[in-house]
Amino acid sequence: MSRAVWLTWKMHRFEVIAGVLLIGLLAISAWIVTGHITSLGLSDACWPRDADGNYATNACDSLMNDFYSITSSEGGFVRIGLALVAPIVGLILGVPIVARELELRTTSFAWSLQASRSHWLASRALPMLLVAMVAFVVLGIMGSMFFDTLAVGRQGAALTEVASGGAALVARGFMAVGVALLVGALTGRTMPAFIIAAIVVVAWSVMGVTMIQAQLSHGWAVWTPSNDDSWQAGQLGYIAYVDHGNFDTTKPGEDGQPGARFDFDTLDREAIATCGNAPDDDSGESAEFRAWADCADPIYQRGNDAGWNLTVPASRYGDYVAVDTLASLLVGGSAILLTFPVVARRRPS
Amino acid sequence: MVELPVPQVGDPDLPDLPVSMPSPVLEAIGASKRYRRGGSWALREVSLVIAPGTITALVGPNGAGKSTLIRSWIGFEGLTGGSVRIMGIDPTADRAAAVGSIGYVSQSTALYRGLTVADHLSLARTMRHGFDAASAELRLEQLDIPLSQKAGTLSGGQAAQVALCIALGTGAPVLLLDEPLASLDPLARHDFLNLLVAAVRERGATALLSSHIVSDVQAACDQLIVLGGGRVTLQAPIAQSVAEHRLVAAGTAPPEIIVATFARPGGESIALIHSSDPALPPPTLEELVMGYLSAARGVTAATGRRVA
Repeated sequence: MSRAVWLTWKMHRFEVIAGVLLIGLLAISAWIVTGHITSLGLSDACWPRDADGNYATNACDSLMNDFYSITSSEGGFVRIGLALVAPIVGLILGVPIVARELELRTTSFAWSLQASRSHWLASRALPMLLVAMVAFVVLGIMGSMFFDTLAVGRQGAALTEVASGGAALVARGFMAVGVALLVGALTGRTMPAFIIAAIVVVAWSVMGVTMIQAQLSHGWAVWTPSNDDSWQAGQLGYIAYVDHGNFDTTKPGEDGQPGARFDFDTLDREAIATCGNAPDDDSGESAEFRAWADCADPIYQRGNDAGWNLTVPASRYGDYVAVDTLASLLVGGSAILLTFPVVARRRPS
Repeated sequence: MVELPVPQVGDPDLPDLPVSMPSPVLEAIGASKRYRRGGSWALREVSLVIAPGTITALVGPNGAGKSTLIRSWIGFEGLTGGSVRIMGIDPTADRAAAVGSIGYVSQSTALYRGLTVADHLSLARTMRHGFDAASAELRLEQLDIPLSQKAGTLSGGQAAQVALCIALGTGAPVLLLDEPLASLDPLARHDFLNLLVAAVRERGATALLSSHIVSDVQAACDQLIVLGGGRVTLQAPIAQSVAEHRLVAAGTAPPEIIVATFARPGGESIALIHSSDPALPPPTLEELVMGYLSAARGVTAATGRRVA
């Protein structure tokens, strides 16, 4: 077994070195940036901001400036890297396992020696998968640490960054390896396989995941008054926005809504019915207008107080991560399993 | 898809086995193959048997179906009709058993360019149970091929010899060699065939060597199969085949004994006929093959060093 692993390493050492180097550099970068942010000593004491958007103290203002400076420069690069590198490395490691052997015709040599193509595939794919998973786990840990420090400054991972750290990053990388392996076996050509697998991975990561998240968000969203800024006091607020509405909470709502839905046309009609039409006074200074306003303002104020957002609380973030992780593992695992029958039926070139 | 009739054992289409012939090592029974629906046939109802302990030359022009037939025995090609067997095993039903019976050298002799020769032996040891690395190393040493040399730096002849040494190292009872000589120079072809014949005779193995270089196989092989247009046009021992044919000037022999008429390079038109008349000149193996290929194509062909 160790001899087979050694030979697999010799066959794929360039892509393994490239992949490990990419992940290593990004992990080190994330670690350094995480250290910079942590050293700021930013804490929950800086929250909440006042009505003018100022932080709790002048020291907090200064800290937040430093924080934004880091997150908009080197932190931004790390953020992009964490979103892209694991799938890219997955493609680099996964594509050549079968595709290059078919392309260079070494499968004729190998498959004439090895009675079981399943054993052949396992002996090639497992060591590569093991290297990839170890690298992804290291990067996943660094990604989680990085986003934890951002969360202190209320800049935690967005829903689009679910797979930029932790288990979801590992699963997304695994998925890329699996898809790359399967597409490589189907096409038998390295470069076309890389391009097709990249399209599939991007399509899944963008469209597939977005659709799943939208479904989850509709199920998990709750109505919250739009003027509720309690999240600034220590919570992360909401992670996904679904809808907005105005509700009269004095009247019963439907489908879990906080009250009867209404809009400003309703208020207009009520204001006209109660106070008459607004006087024709652009300046709003006339006594007649002020009298009308005294009557109508309480009615319109009900509208201002009635704004509600349908959002998913940030506390649900872990649930999105769990679903993303499971879905990616399912796609990657299925792709790997499908590669076995494809290889078994494949005609060596 | 057109269903082809599958000849059964005992069918008149199947070549007759001599009464004393042991069970065939390689069989094709009405084997047919085309790669695309409506496309031309790579193999068309090929039926043949190869006896154990023989070295058989499978000769034919490019595109005659030699590689397709060989690859079907190792399970690399599925057939459109008919079947093949190796040591009685149908490779489509039990590919693992079929592969385990075969030592194979492919047309491209594609080795792993980044691996050394020694790495290839290690690879073979991990992939094939019972691989005799020691004997393979010994043969490679005798051929002056350094084990530490990377496959990517080997000459075509050396790569073919490494592939052959590995195929021999499997200890498989059957060797399938798919045009390993195609890209080799005469000296490399000579060395390859010497190694093959010595190893096969020593082990009592059976070898099938496909080639379109007729002159090379004459010295190495004892049986001849000519494949033309996807069909077997001749299968017999080489010596017997030559002995049972004669050459005459075109137009001088009765039509019923003429195999084919073709032109020599100088333009002289000659006929290959069924005859053992000692007064007539026998054909060379190349002329014999040329005659049968011409007959398969139904046209007059000029002899050349290569059949194709």
